[in-house]
Amino acid sequence: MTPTNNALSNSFGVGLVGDSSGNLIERNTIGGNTNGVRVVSSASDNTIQRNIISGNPPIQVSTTFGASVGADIRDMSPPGANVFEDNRCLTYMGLMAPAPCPSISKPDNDEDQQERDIAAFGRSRLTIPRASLIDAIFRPSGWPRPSAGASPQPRQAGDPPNIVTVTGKVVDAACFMLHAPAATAASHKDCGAACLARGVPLAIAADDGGLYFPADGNQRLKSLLNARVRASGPVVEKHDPMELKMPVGDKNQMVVRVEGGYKQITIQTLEKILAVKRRPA
Amino acid sequence: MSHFLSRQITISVFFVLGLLVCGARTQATDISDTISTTLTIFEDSKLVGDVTCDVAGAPCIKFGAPGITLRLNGFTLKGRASPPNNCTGFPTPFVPEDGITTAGQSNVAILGPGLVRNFARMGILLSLGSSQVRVERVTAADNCFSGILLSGATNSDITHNVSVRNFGFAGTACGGT
Repeated sequence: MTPTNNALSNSFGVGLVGDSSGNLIERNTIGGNTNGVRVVSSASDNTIQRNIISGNPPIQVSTTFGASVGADIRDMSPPGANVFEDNRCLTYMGLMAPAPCPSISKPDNDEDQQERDIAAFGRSRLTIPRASLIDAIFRPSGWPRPSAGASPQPRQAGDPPNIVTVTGKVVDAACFMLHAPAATAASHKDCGAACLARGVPLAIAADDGGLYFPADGNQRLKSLLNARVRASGPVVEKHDPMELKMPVGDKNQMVVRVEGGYKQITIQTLEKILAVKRRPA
Repeated sequence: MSHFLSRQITISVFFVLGLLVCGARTQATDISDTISTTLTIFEDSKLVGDVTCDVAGAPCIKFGAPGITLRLNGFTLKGRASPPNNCTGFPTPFVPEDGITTAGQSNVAILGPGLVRNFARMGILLSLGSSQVRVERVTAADNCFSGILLSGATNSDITHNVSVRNFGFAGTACGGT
């Protein structure tokens, strides 16, 4: 069988066809396909960013059928219809100028470094055969501090409740108090989910630096772990110590006691905030 | 007294039955071995072993409800194609022999780690009408057309996946990353 170029070009690593819109293609590794990422003319408002797209098509395909067969990014949409940003790629077929490929020299950003640090930490800790019982006490002063003037003002218990809107990420509260950057990293997702399954409390790590515990436990937040949310409701400042207990392995338990008060929100409205789609200036 | 006891027992039986029914609705479906007709999932499901798909001309796994998750759980979902052999033709017949299709459902998730390979058309298809789908940490390899295809899907996140060697026409050499 001698394929036509048209037929060949319909194989790709990730494709956006039809009226696909508003999608995020991020941090994928795409190689060895006839086309790496293919976007058709009717697809719009999609963001393709921070992917590694290389070796599309493989060298033998290029040699046999010519360079027109495919590319790392084959973009048939009008310029500006979709966003290509911070991808590592070599070849581009499309109308965008300047072309988003080749792009191979951009240094890793802070998040990449952070994920490597966390992975390295995990590797070193895995050499410990068994977890130990840990009693830890945390005080809110150790958490990230709210930026000046940005924090909502929670009332004291007993005061008439005021309605506050907080925006932030749903986190495993215990991990957040141990290491805030790790709790909010994508690499913590599976660990956070495991903790959630064992009853570890969730909280909203707000953009202003505050940590808000929901009054109804994990009920409303459990499906939103690691998601960005906007929650509204009365917030009160609690002064009683709070204990967070979480199992460590089969036999051990880690207890984190929060002293010095914490914020509790009675969630009245809750919405998930979709990923921010950035466009180049 | 006996009437009281009888009523108590009846209430207890209904309570236990209620728990069983509720439990069945929330329990995840475990998937393994061979799938020979399209498996439509209506609740959270996960692979508990490598799966061989022997479904001709139709998807292997299909979402049948919104808001549910399929976890590959580190296992492999393998189709019948061995590109460039056993691939569906282009442009016709372009039969939907895909690995996993969202079938227009929204708020569903396909989570890795796990491998989706050797399907005669797409590895993973996010079809028209699907919205807010998540595909994360999945490897799609050696499928005849696309590893991951969004066909009219909207507001979905495709992140941290690997998609390699997806093409299946005679004459094309093997590729790699």
